[in-house]
Amino acid sequence: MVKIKINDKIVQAHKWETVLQAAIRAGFEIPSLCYHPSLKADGSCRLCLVEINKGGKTKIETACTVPVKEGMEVKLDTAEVIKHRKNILEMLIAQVPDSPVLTELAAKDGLKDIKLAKGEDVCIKCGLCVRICKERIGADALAMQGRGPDVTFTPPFGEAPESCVGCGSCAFICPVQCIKYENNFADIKIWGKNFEKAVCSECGMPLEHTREHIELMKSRHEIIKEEEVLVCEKCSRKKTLETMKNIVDGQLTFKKMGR
Amino acid sequence: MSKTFIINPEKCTGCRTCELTCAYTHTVNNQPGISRIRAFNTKPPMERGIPIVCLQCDSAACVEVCPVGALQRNLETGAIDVDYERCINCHACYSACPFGNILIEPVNNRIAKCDKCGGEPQCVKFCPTNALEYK
Ligand code: SF4
Ligand code: SF4
Ligand code: SF4
Ligand code: FES
Repeated sequence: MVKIKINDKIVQAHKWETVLQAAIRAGFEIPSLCYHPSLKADGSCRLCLVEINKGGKTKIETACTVPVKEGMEVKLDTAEVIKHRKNILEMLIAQVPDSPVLTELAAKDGLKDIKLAKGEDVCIKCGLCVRICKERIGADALAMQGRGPDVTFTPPFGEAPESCVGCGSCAFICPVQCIKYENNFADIKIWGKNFEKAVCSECGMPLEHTREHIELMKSRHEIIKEEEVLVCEKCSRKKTLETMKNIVDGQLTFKKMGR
Repeated sequence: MSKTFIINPEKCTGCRTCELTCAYTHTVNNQPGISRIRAFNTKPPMERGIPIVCLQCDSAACVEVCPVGALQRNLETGAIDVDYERCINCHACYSACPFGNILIEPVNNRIAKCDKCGGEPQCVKFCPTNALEYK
């Protein structure tokens, strides 16, 4: 463990934690948009600014990218920090004026009179969707080029990415909820593409996933068996019940159910 | 060793008190959630219920398939717990469980599974016939 000071509180942090992670664990609130616990931080939204004092030198840095260090002193919400954060928020809101998430953050910092230049974009270019799709889902359907305000999406925002499997994770993780996602009874709509859901091999009801997503899961995990994954929750339970019944009736013996 | 559920189907009357207890114990947005345990009533000639609940598998499909490691074993209770901060709601675990023991909460579309109530399973406590035990 490493000892750091956040505002006036001594916080015990794990060696591998960043300032943001340690602060969240200790119950502090730091505004952040591009941080997600499932991905490595990359500091693109610049909203999580804090004042860090390391060996007598004070610097304003993004809390999500700075690893903790013994004796570090961190100050949240100093006048300087708020000033910078307001600037960043103003820029973001100019890009995505209708986002409730941004407006709420701005209100907390007492940011009023934002010049509402009607931004055309809906996306703040934080890159979370691209990274979750590539690093975790493994579909690698999205890409971004460039940095800052010149970032462009490939394929262009709103057009169907070729290798998308329709899992919806990008829409879920997007901090400003700008990816349109529809999960209907028998299909999933995302990026303007329409995916049919796979159906249960027992009862024919639509499953939760698209065929493409199931194929991807199967190729990534040996434990996923076609004959198990293509059975809906209700039919899986019926099968479990059947097995249990046979055990109770003495037709089957099992030391232990499950894997 | 952490304690485990013991299910005695011969004692279950199919009253589904366990389901009610579970739903009320796990509230979602201040509403009772869905039940993570289900007592199925088998049809005649076998007139009885069999409670089915997550088996907290040693080598669990849900844990293996989760792309972000949001499902992890709680070493104290032995349950596989969901870290909702990490979870990206892909529902892969829901499809992966071969027993149908992961559910989706209709209120918020997030996944739900048995967490042994943090070590004190309420369904066990309220089961009137001792068909459920925890030891
Ligand atoms: S829905 Fe498509 S683009 Fe979004 S994370 Fe899943 S595969 Fe990638
Ligand atoms: S949810 Fe399913 S796969 Fe996961 S531990 Fe429970 S029974 Fe096993
Ligand atoms: S829904 Fe959440 S817990 Fe389940 S596999 Fe997806 S990320 Fe993991
Ligand atoms: S959360 Fe740290 S830069 Fe976005």
